[in-house]
Amino acid sequence: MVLGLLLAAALPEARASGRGDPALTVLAGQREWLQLLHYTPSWRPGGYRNFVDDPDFFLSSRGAHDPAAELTATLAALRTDPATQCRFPARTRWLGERLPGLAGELPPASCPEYEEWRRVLAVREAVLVFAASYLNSPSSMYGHTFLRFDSATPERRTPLLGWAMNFGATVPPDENWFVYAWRGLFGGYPGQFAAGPYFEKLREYSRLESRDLWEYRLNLDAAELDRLLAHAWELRDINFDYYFFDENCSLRLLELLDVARPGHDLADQFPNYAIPIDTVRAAIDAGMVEAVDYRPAMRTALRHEIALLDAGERALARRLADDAGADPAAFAALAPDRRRLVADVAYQYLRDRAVHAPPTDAITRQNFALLQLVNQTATAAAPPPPPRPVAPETGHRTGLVAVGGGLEESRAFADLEWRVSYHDLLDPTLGYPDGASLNMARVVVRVKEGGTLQLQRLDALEITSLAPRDAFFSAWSWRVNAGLERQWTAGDDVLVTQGNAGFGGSWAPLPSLMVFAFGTGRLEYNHALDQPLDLAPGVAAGLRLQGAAGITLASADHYRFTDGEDRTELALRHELILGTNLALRLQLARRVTDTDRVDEAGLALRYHF
Amino acid sequence: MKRVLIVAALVGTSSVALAEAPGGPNCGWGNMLMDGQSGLGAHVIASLTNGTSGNATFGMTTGTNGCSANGTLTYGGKSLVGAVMDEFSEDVARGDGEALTAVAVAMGVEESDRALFKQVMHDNFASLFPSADVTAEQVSERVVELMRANDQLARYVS
Repeated sequence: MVLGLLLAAALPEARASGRGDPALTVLAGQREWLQLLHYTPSWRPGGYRNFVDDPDFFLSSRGAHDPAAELTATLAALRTDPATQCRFPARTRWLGERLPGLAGELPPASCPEYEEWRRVLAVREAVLVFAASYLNSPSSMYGHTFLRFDSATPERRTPLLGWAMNFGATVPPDENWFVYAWRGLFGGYPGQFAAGPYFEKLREYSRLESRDLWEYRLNLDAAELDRLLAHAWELRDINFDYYFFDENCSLRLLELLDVARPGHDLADQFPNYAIPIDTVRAAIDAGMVEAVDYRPAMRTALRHEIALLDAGERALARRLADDAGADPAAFAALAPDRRRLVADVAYQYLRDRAVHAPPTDAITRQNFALLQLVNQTATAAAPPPPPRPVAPETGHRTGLVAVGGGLEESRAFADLEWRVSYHDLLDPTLGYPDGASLNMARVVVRVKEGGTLQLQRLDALEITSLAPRDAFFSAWSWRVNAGLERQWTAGDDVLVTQGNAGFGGSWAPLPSLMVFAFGTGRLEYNHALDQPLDLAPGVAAGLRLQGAAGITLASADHYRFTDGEDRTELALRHELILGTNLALRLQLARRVTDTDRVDEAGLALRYHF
Repeated sequence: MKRVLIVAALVGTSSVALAEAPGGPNCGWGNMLMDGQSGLGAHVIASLTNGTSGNATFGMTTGTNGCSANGTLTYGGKSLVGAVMDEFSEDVARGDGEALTAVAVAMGVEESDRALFKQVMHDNFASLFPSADVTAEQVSERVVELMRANDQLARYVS
């Protein structure tokens, strides 16, 4: 390459003049160098910042912000200290390719530790794994991604023995519980890459957290895998800034893919934040994914098997889970394949429960008895595996704009809505967890007849988790919401600041129908109230119906402020799904207070982008 | 033996200091059963951060499961049985599954012999798991015994 020759020719000067060398400055500005060093453009034109927060990663004291200084320092270190080649194999390789004369100048180095690591890993394939949303874990609400490296070694050539590499906060052992929670939420732990066998990841995600896993097999070739692993080695024990709300685990992985296969600049597509499923989409769009495997969570498989049972079998399985010897006559009366299914459900159910409750000796004995029952019935035909749902990346996109209009009493209005993320109870559910709503940064601006322009609503955060209760599962449902909204108060349309939460249960009498009830609490600042800052306990109930024509949500909320003011809100919403990313939403609402009664009807066209 | 390499492969690098490998003499099926469930509260907190707690390393972390075995750092062959004993017992009971495959793979059983391996294990479920108190070590030894007793599988444990 001409540039290479040019640079090679310029090398003696570069050595003499240090970092001022223009050819080296050009080299330091190349994408691959910036990616290897994890530079991101800063607000200052031409400036750089770095999520790596660790002096061990930089050879120059200015390295975190100065690609040219770091490149110069790296060249100097490579020439003087053989250990540098072992510590930074990807940098060494890249510089060697760009500076053809460099190899001859480097001291001979032997890197047994690195080579042994590479040899025993013997990576033949990389897989991007997406763990579906887990609402009960704030850092995983949007899902999570990590990489799995599958081995070519005959004794490890099976997914369970793959090597899973995850980016996450690193927590010191024996950390105080409260400090743990606080720092986990608000930052304070460094982020690091860490690794473990895939079967441990499966326990964590599939078993403990009941999250389905999607495995996107990447078509990286040997040279690309080589670059990826050489760079991964450079990141060993390196601390990154870890921002909890950034969801930056996924972004860090894209940076690795950028190093593996230069030219796509995947991480650059996400200058501000990266929702994990969007990073999966980016890898797919870049043509990196060759196959997608689905791995249902343990509970997904269990729910599937429960659904295959009739009411009598269900009751029997539930009894067997408590006592493996219960009702032997009824069990023996079943056909062999039904016996297998019932035994399996009883066993899986007890296993599931053991995950979520402190184990006892009695449970262990019972579990063993059920395992024997599973063994005794195993000759019958196995039940069909859970059906593969729609893949998450084929669901609606994560951003939203909506335009709508309607009447508030007899006065017309037009609304413009923008939501940064992600999904609510009425949005098309394909590819998303059912009964879960997660929204951050949602703004609605309203123009009222007569020309008034006002902020109608601003949700900083809204989460709803509806988990149906039944004979097998007794999960709680909950919701939280905080932001600004309009409330008619004493004849005035007042913008109030509020936070509210609800806790209760939901039930699914039919597969397509969910009903829910919450006890609620609300804190509101409203200057038009007698007591501007006031608390309001209340109740809420509703139902959500999924049908061919879309999704319907009906809800009723009632609460009373401590100073006596009552409010009731009834709402009926229906979403007509027009396409993966397009829908029409109809909304009817009635709000009643001691002094006002306001009806509103609206229709909005919603587009996910 | 080639299988010994698995040890190193899964540990990743010799510089990594690991605490304990699951699956030791004091680590019974009952204990394995509860693996990872040492308090859901702790887990929920751990998941706040996508965190890796304690011995976060770049090699293979073993995780701690309350079983005290002074780690031999191995997931190869026999000790893998201990590491995945819960899943393994379930797969043996049924006669198939990924954990059973993983143990076969780690024992070096070639693809053409894996169905046989699974069948032998399944047929001997009761002797592999005679009680809820059976330890990982006992199960591992029994796996090897069963393989030795089988003409086709004996060569993998010679």
